[in-house]
Amino acid sequence: VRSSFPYRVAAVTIPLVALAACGRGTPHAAAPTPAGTEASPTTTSAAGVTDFGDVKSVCGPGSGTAPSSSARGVSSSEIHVGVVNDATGPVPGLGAVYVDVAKAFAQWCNAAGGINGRKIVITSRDGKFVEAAARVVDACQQDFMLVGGGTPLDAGTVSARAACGMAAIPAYVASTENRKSPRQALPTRAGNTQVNVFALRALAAQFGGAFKQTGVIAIDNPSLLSVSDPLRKALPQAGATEVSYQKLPNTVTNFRTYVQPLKGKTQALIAPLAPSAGIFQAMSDVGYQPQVILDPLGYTYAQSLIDALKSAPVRSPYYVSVSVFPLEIADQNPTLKKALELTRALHSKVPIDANIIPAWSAWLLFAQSATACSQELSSDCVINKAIAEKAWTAGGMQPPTDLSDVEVTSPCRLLLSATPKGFTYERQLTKPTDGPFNCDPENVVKTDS
Amino acid sequence: VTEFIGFTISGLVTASIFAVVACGLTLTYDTTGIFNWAQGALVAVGAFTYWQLDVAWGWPRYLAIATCLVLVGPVIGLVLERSIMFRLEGTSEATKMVVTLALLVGTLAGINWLWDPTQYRAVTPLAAGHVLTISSQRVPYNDIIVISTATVVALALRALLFRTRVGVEMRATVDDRTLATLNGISPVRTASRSWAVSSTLAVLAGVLIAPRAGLSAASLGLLIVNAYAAAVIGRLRSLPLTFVGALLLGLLTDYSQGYVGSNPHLPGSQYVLGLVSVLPVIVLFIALQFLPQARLRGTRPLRIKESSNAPKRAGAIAFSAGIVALAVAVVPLLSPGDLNSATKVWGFALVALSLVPLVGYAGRLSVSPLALAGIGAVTAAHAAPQGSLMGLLAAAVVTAVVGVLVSLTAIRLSGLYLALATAAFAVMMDGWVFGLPPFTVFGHTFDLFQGGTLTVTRFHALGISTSGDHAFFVFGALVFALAGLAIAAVRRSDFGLRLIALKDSPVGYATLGLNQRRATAAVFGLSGAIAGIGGAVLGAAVQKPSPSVFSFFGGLSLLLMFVILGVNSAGAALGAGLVVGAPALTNLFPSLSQLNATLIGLAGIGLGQDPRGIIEAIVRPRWEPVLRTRRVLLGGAITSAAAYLLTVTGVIGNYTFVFVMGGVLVFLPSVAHAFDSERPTRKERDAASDGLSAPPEMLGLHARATQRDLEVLRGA
Repeated sequence: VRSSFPYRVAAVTIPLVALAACGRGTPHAAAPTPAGTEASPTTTSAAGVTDFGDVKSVCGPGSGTAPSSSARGVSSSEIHVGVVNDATGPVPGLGAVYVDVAKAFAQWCNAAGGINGRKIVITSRDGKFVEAAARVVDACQQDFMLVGGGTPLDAGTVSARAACGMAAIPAYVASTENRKSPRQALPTRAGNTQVNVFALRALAAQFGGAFKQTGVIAIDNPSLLSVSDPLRKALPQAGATEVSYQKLPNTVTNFRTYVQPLKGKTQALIAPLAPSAGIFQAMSDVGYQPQVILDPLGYTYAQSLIDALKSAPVRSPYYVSVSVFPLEIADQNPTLKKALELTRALHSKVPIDANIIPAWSAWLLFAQSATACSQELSSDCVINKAIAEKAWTAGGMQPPTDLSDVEVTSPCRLLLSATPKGFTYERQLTKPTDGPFNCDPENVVKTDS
Repeated sequence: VTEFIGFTISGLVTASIFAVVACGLTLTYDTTGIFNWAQGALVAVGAFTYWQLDVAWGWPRYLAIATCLVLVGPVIGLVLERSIMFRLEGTSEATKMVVTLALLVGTLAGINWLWDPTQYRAVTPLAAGHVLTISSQRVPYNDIIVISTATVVALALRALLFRTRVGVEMRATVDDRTLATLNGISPVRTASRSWAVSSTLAVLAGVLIAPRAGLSAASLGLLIVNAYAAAVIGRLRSLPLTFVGALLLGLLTDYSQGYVGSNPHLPGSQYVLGLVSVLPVIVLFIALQFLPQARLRGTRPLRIKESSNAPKRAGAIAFSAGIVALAVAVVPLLSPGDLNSATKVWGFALVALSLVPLVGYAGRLSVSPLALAGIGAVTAAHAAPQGSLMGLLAAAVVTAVVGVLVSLTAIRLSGLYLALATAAFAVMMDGWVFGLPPFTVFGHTFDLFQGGTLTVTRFHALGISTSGDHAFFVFGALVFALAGLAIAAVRRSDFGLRLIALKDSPVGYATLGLNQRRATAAVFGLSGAIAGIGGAVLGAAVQKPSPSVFSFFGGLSLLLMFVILGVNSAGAALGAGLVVGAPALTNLFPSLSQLNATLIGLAGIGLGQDPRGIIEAIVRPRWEPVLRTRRVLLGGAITSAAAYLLTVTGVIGNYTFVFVMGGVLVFLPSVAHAFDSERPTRKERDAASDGLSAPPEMLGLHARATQRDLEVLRGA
């Protein structure tokens, strides 16, 4: 993992922003579950508990007396919860959305009666990119759990969390080490031995010929390669042939030397990397216009891709495949609609950000599980309730996910097209089977690694 | 063939931009003797200003460009010259470098402050969409504009230097400053003009590069290190050769990217890919080897003598014991999280300490301290995965050897060239070696940082483990204290005296029959060993160090802070470690995360005023009376101890403690001053010096001559 160091000229280059994007968003995972299994087995419709959109029994005053608890950070009237982020680090604003979502959720939940009568108290644990371990040590003094946050360099936080038995429901995990660490429930994450090639299958009818001559552009960055390499291995199984592979170094001075070799050789371009007007401009300069451009992993589902498309001419159709409910059609999902309204009420300038849904997903899972611990509130109880979820959908905001297994990749994805005007959900191409998602089990292929 | 022509054209564009920057660099170096490390930062300023005018404020493009070139560029140059550069006349080469390095760090931080680095920015190329097509080869108009601009700049510069009076004056100043002055040429005016031209060239390069490389302050600042290579090929003298150098570099970069970088199926290409991106730096390293050997020179008269007294044995022991005692004392006051962060202080302090013999004693400026530290951390992690102290030893040995090797390649070099060579080394490590995938040499597989998952285990010895933050903090202090003692011993030894002599006068050193190359290699080895230990301690503090912990820019900040505090003392090293390693400033002002770098930059620029550093120039004179007056010292100690006890027992809070200690630190020197028995009376002072602040023969040696001194001297 490359990154920069704070207190100095932050080397805020492409990889860093890409890295930030990389750990985040794009939930995969979960066993194929038939459509419509909304209610999960652990939700009990106890009296005095409020639903959030389609998520049942999230917050409420409960029976009147709060369940007993001897856990750290829990008093008779409050639960202290930490949110890991890097908002004031070398990339200002990194993970700030996690704090926004946490505040929005706590406001709603506390108004609804809290967790069986206990109010949620949020503490931002701002790791400034490299101080995350120290902030986890802080959290160990007063927080019940860490919820709805995350940091790119999270391998260093594993031992700090283990030292004080801190449980977590993060919005994302970046390192394999953290993904496999105990006392965690991961509502959104990626397994890395199985690859979802839905996007290639969905576009096969229209661009199947083009994918026989595929070019791939990736960034030479360990954490980004760890997701783009399995994808490349899976290409043949999706009927695509890689004929040119361009690995950009961390600091690119001249995109044209990487784009030039793609011209003539390739008809389709797979670009699972940070969007950059530099690449698009270079494509226009050398006259490279593939029949289709695709990001099959969804890391570029962000306002910055639209901005890049606005500033440089790209005539090829551009698709991004994601596994979250599209923010553009939030009106069709009551849970997402409510989540966005609450987030924007607190912080009006929330751009398209693939991290909003994972953060809400983590909070809803936390609150629902904590509320279900109506006998005694402990972090073990919360985690056990959470990982008992076999098909967590966060009210349809994400595809059903089996939280008991961190290695399974979800078959569900959907396709968005990207133009300078914004993202558009491609229902015809997606052929949805479950909500907006296409959950054909054959979308997932196994790779040898 | 199409590819080849494509790469050639884009290589020419790259070369043009390098050339514009390198010519500006050469111009100011020649006319003022200052190598402007911040030239890249000025390029970034140009690019961001252009974006602000053209995109953010929507000015017409020609107006935006004209404003940049006619107004912004010259004004920046003039302001720099008037406010900073002219003060550097008569300071040592090291000071000049540190000030411009500080300008680099400060400017880049300032840019990140003004222009939020998370926001997306792009500038469309000139004449976007217009492409010249010659038999299927597409050449965007923008390329043609860039290449022809560079050509015009080159021709115009040549005409300026050889066909105008201004140019003749500039060249005359370069050839012989004194003679030129005698002939009525004002060196000040010449300097102003060349700074104005040079910064305009930098801004022009920024305008040209903005549509091409994207707008990121750090990568623009670093990218231009490539242009340094072109300037060195031109031997920092010849503009035509610089131009040729830029041409070579531009083509080399783009061919290597195009043919090697984009062919990952070539065998071994995963190892070479990183190399491609640092190729210009390697060219810089090689070009330095072919520079004509710098003649041994005596020192030029300096405005201020830049050396200090040797530490006394008792003083060094007291200092080291004090450090450990303070470390033990401060632990209960820190919150567990802050203590966890603060463990990094000792690693950084040790790395800074490694610069004391190198920069402070021998006067060899190295800008790669953290690169060696990175090697130390990796060595310790691989040699002692269980955390045995042998890991520290192994780190010291390996980095000492690497240090000597670096010095051997740079042994003929001194001053600026040595600094450039170490910069090239640091960028090479940072940009290539630390990121290498696993490789096998002689049957042993090396995986340096293991893709960011490398663990440096905290050390244990004699059955005591330092895995906890508390134990490790004290352990770090202990290692630092021991290293500090060693450094003080070196300073008192023959070797230390030889290093001081080497710094004072290389030519005198050689005249005495001493081998300066051997001394240089030895001091590099010593410094490398300490840096390696520092790297191991830093790595163990972080436990999961990513290569970025040891980045080039990180090293620059540490170096700057160290030089700002004063290059001769372990105290300065500790101070640098505290500033860079402890999260104090950003915790106080969380919204100003660039504050630290900006302050370091500003303080470094201030160094032009008094190059001895803050400790020597301000702290020591203020505190010497305190050490002399026992009563006051005792009083201060008792107050501090009482405040500490009250805090630890919870009677007063941390903030009250900080307030009390702050009061003690501020007022103690004033109190001591009042009580100081050795303080000369006003009458004595006047009698001793006829109103001068020092005996006339010492004026300007230990302190600057004051305005009053000058008046007295003039009167006399």
